[in-house]
Amino acid sequence: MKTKIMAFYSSPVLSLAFRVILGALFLYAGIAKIVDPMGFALSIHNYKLLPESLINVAAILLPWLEVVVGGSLLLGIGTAGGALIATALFSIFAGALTINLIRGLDIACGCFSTTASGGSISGFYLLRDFSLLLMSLQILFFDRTLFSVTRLRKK
Amino acid sequence: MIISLVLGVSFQAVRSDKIPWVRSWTTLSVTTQSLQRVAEISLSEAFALYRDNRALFLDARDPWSFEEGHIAGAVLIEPQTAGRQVSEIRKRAGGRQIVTYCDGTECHLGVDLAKALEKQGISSVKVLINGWSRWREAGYPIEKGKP
Repeated sequence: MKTKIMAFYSSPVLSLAFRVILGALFLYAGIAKIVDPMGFALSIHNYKLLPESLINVAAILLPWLEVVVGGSLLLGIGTAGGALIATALFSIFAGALTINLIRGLDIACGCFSTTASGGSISGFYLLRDFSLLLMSLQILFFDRTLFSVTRLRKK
Repeated sequence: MIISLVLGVSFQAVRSDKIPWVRSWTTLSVTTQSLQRVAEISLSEAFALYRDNRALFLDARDPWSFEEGHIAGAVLIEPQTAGRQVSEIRKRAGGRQIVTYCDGTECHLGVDLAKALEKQGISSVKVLINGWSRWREAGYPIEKGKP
């Protein structure tokens, strides 16, 4: 049973599916934040984790990192690097969510949108983040660059 | 990382609605920042509209705070559900000014609600910052009860 689960988790086809899912999610999240940097800066401020001087810097640069990671995963260019950064981002987001859930702060997630319409942070958001983290780890360790620009260039 | 840094810096250099790289995030600046796209209403102006029944007040706080006390006649609308209640809000407002509020200078819910409504095409929305405390302290009409 354990071997079957591992065989499924390490499947290159699953990597491709995860690349498409995470790539699209990162692109969507990044673009939504680029469109509204002020709203995203407010979301970061509400987490009360970064020093004041870094809030706007993060609000300006982080969305572009998400867009580049999204593009990398979707197109299959530098996939390992993209997956590594995605894993780091999901780990940071999980840490930030956990700290503020423990603090009991009623704040908007700011994950895929910059408005409060996304809802306040909750255990669900943490669970979702861990699911995405598992996807990025799968890509990092098992991706075989199916349907990727990297593979096309090798041919 | 380098590509995103270059893209981020370049786009920041050319965009017209950019935010500064560094700013002071005092309580006041947070309120001012979040208000940049939403109109604020003064307490006296809000009360004048209330007295003449020319405004609908929307309470953006949680149901428990609302139950403990709210501006008399106000309707509880949480920002995250505003999108689903647009037609009801339009009906209740009947062309009147809409005033959103929550409690405390750090509370963003009133601003969030106003933004959510504007996104749905309702333009006559103003925010009464720290509305509940200021309204109550001014001795204006309040009431208790479930939404």
